[in-house]
Amino acid sequence: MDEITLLSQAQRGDLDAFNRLVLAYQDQLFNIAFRILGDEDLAADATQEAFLHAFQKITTFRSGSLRGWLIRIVTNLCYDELRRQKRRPQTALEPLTAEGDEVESPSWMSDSRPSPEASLEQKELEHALEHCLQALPLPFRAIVVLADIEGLDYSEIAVALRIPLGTVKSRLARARMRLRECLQQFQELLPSIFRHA
Amino acid sequence: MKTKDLELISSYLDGELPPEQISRLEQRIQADPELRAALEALQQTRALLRRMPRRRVPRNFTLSPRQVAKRPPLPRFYLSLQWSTALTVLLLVFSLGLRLISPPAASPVAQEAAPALRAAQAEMTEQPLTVMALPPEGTSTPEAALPSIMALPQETPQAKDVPPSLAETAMPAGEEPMPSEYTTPVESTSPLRFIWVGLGILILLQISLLFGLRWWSAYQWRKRS
Repeated sequence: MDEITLLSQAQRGDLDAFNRLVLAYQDQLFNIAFRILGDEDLAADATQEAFLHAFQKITTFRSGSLRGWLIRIVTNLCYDELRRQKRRPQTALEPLTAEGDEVESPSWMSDSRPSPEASLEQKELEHALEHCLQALPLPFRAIVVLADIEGLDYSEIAVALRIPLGTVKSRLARARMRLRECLQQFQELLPSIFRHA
Repeated sequence: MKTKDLELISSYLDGELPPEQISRLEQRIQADPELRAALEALQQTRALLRRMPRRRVPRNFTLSPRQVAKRPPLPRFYLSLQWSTALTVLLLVFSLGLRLISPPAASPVAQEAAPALRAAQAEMTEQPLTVMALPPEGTSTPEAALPSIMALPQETPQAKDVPPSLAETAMPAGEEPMPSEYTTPVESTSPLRFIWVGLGILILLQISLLFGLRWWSAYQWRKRS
């Protein structure tokens, strides 16, 4: 069944039709939320909330890209979550020593499974990228995630984030350059062809 | 490097540059090593990002009827109603704020009537008795009708001197008369006051409708599932 039919059934209150749309988009929405928030649990909550919100407001969706509309909802929820975190910073869960100092790498946090070197390097590279992504200001991060990780084109990003096309272009260019500068710290992790550019 | 050039290169990389700019930029890239280096840097960064592995969803995010029952789908015009309520509230706040910032100047009618009113007040303060003015025959305005309720059964000669349009209760002797701007009928008939009341009623109606629609949607959803 095509998306338009499922959408119109969902707009008449058919939950099964809506759930088929959920299955089609959940992977993308979860990955966007994860890359913006940098936390799997928070990303799962944001994705679930986005679908609930979408179902409640499904009758207000008239035309355009359903994917763009869903991405807009999840991105806004991620923004809300990050604003909430900024207002109420969380305390670190690291255990304390007898003197009251934080234990930086407690044994219960380490992964005991043996991992091959290549996989480890890949993981470290991913962490480095993740670190640099999280260091970007929020509007820049969202654009990089949508353009470079999710592969949306400029007009889709403009619709999803409700910003002009010119802003998409300029923010994406600056975000990529900032990422590049940040990644210079992790030269040894980058694949060889990226090292001396 | 100029931000503009960086934008051009980034758009070029994504194939989002207008065709007429492509050949011009390609010529510049060939001639300028700085532009070439920037293009390579952006290209590599983008390639790295595209290689980032995708996360698998930890669970399915499909909705159950129980989850939805708490927040069922709302009618199409619910959102418009929300916006119009917000707009009405803004309008009310704006008009009240405007009134607070700039109190209205007395209208020409009030200015003309002011000396007569003051004279009447001065005269009345001299009277030991409470004097009420009677509206003229056939007056139908509310401000003119009001004193007729309060008027004394026996009309005093002094009351006739008071212009009927400025009728008001007289004060006991020795009491300070109220400033004329608070007692002029212009104030009580101000159209702004009617607008405020109207907006207030409209807001109440809209809010009731919003709550009603939510309740109705939840009821319909429960009935269906």
